[in-house]
Amino acid sequence: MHSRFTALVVGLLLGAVACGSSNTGSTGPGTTVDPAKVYADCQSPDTAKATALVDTSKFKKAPPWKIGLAAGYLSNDGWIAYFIQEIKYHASTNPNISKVIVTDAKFNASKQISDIEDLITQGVSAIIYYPVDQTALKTVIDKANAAGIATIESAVGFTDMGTSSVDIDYYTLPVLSDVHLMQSLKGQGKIIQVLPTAGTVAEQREKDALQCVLSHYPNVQLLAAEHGNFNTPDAKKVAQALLQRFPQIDGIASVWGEQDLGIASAFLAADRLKNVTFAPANEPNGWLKWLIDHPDKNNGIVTGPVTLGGLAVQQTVKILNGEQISKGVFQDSKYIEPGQISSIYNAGKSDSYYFNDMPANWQP
Amino acid sequence: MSLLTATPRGAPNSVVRERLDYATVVRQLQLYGVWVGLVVLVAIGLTAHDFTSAGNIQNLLRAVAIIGIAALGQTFVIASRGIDLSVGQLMGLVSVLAVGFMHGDASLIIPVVCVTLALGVAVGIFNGVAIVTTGIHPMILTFGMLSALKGIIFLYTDRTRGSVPPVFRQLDLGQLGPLPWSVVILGVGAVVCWFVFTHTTFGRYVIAVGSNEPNARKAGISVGRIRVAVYAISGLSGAVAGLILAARLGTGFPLAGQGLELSAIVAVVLGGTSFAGGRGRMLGTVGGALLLVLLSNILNLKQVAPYVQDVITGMIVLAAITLYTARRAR
Amino acid sequence: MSTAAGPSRGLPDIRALLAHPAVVDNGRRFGIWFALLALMVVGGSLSPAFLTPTYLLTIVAQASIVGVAAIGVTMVMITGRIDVSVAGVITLTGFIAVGIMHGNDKNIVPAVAAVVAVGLAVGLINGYLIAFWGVESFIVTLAMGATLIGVAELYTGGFTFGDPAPAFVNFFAWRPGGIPTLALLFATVAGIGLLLVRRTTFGQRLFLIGGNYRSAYLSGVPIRRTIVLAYAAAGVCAAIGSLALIGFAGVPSGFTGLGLEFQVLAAVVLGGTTFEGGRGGIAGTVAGVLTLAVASTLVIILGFPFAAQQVVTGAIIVAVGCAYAASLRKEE
Repeated sequence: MHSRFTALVVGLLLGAVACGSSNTGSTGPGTTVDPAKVYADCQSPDTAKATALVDTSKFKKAPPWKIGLAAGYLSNDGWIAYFIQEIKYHASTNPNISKVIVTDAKFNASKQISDIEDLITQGVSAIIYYPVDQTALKTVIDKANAAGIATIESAVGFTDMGTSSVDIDYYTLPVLSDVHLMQSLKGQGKIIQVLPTAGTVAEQREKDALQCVLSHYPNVQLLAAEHGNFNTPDAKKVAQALLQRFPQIDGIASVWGEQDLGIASAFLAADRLKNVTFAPANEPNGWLKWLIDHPDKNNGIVTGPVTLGGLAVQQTVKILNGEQISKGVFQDSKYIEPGQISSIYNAGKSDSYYFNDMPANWQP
Repeated sequence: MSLLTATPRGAPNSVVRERLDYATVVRQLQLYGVWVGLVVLVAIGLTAHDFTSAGNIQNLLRAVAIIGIAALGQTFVIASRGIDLSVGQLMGLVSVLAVGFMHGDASLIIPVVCVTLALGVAVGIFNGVAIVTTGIHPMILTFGMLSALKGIIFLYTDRTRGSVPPVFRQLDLGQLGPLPWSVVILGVGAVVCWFVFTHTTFGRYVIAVGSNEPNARKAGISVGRIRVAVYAISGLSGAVAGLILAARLGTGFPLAGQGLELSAIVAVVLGGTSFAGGRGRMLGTVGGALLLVLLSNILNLKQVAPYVQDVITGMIVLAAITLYTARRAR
Repeated sequence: MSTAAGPSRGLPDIRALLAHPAVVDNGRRFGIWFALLALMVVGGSLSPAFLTPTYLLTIVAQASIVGVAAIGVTMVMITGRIDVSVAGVITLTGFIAVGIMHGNDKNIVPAVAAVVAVGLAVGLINGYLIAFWGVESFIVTLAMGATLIGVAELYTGGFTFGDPAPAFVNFFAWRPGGIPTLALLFATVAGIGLLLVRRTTFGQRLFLIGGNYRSAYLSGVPIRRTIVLAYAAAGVCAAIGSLALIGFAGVPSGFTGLGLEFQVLAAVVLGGTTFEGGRGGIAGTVAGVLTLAVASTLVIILGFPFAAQQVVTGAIIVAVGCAYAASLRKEE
């Protein structure tokens, strides 16, 4: 599993993905757009910055290491819970890491500054954090770096501040998903977008990504963008209203499986499920189950793996060893073909389980 | 400490000499419990590594300023038997607008500060006038305002934007002697509010309106004006807190103010201001804000797991509030 | 149109009519129904599909989560007290429900029993602290809500264990005779609430305590017991609301109940139950719940962006709240 996590340059990743999907999607005669062209045009703005090399000698420390984990929030979705667990698990497998100290800012940007200050006070060796707001942390991150403490942003999106970033690419992921939707719709139709919580980085990137992708598909019309807030009930409410508002909805641009569960149930109740195509979303167990139960709706998934947590620990260890690193590391977001999704589905687990690489005794 | 003991006006019936019985102890705790709580917390904190380091003290003080300042205005409102739920989103709006307008340009600081403070006062006056003229319950009015302000923030921006000039960041990062500027503002604000509250006619009127509105009316107090004034003060203090929030974050984050109103209200109540109106403890409010921040700091330094922290914090607030607002049932 | 000429003669009559006590009283009692009707007319004129029974019932089903919880809170608020621990109860009991069900139909009964028991227990504690210790209700239920969310986090470690049972999900996806079971649940709870408030001594006591505490005290009303019972009802209703949320979503509800307490409050107040107590009732609350639900659907149907949705929601709350308060003031 680990070998997959070696740092990937985004450009290469995109190229690979583009080739893969252009083969699968462009079967219809109506398709005139080459997905590879869209991928080339809709590139994450962070690609170039992420490849810069970082000298980590000033963060090199003798073990044992105490790792601080400054969470922007803990209680939001299952994904975050598994991501944190991954960090704890991978830290536990490294004998040089003596402890992981977790703080929870509860989505309060000001409290996260205090939390990181508290971690600096405790003399941690490095801080992994996922920000409530990236920019707001700049001063305290600089302060930590000045004190010789490496800072590793993770899970929210690439940033050039601090020592390093280990992320899912929140721009590339929706681009990948949206292009598959466009191809499935054969470049024609009316779609709605269901976004995560307003004001979050993921929300902004998803909007931008869809806008870029749509510019290549003039015959696809975005009817409305509403907020499903990463969760099932909110997405269901929004979908019920949109169903009422628009007599024709051909496609759903949502990259979060938890939202799709609510959207699907609204479309089912309105008896309009048969007319709609879902963009590939990420991989909560419940959504995989639903797709397996509804093979005609199965358009594959795009992964936003919780194993990102392991990658963040790996990068932290490299930094503490004083190895040279690249500024940004992106977790491989992959498109998984409809027929292959059973490989990451776990029938014995609850709907909110996420496929991961932890042994049984670390599974919650 | 003489400041604390010399404020008998806030406590009704304080002239009556009471026996030192259960009720008196509870009463004394209601008035000064926050300071007892602070002493206990500091004692626990001293057992944590690096609690007394200069860096940690600075962090504590910076963290307390925003909630503390918002809570000062809230104290006036709660003492008049009102409540202002809109202040958190007001702080968010002010911080986003201030950062957006300044956009790193130091020459714009003064106009932007003036405009945003005026905005805070205007929102407060709107709250007050609506409450006075229609008689709507303040909780519902200010909750509606909360929702509307959140909408206005998102009309302005749905994403983090703007930056503040370095000199403006000194509000949070700069110091006057050992104290961060934000704490100096909190201190000055607290003293001014305390003075206004305990040594002016206005302060007495606020208490009178809060403890018995019909009587206050009969006594010739212009209840409406007092109410509008307390919400205006809350709006002003919310705007000041919002500016400090902008300085602390250095950027305009649309969700920055979310939930801060509840922290401010809890700080006020922990400080000994009665939710039933008629009793306010301005310095207690500062103590209450300090208590909340100190609790979070110590739980972090003691490396208590976040979920356990939430339960402990909730239980402490629950216990404190039970003790504080409990009166011997008739 | 003759609007220019009309007012000179018509207006005084209208004014007199509006000031008539019967109009004021009925306006207050039924005003929220008019507001609801107006919103539905607006909705119907903008989207023909809006007024179809299927869709209206869908909105009722959506509203059932807030609605069920609001029934209990109404009883508390009639006594002049408040309960904002609702979101905490919904969150904690939501985890308990799916944790016990564990995707198995055999566990539905124990899960429902446990959820109701927890809701009842929280209500009893709230009520005890408030009625017997005289603790301020807003702040104590606020702290209680925060504590319950902390307990929920601690209980789960942030993970959700288990799934709702298939039969449970299917039951709430069922539409017997076209009526969603969630709407039936809401109607049932509202009906029971209506009976309790309007037809029982308990209901009369609620109004007496909220309307005139002194006379309630002097006439020997068991004030404390009644208040505790009201909070117990609020706790149980919140727990049922939590089951409705799981039924609606079909998946574990997680932390999605957060923030519901203020929606509940808004609905109750829009329905004419005041913070001061002694007024209002269940029927008004039902209308308040439906009004908010229709309004929030309407802003999406109208295609308002997120920001405008927030502003409109706030404006509706303020406008209806002010209208109520003003009508009460006129009476005095």
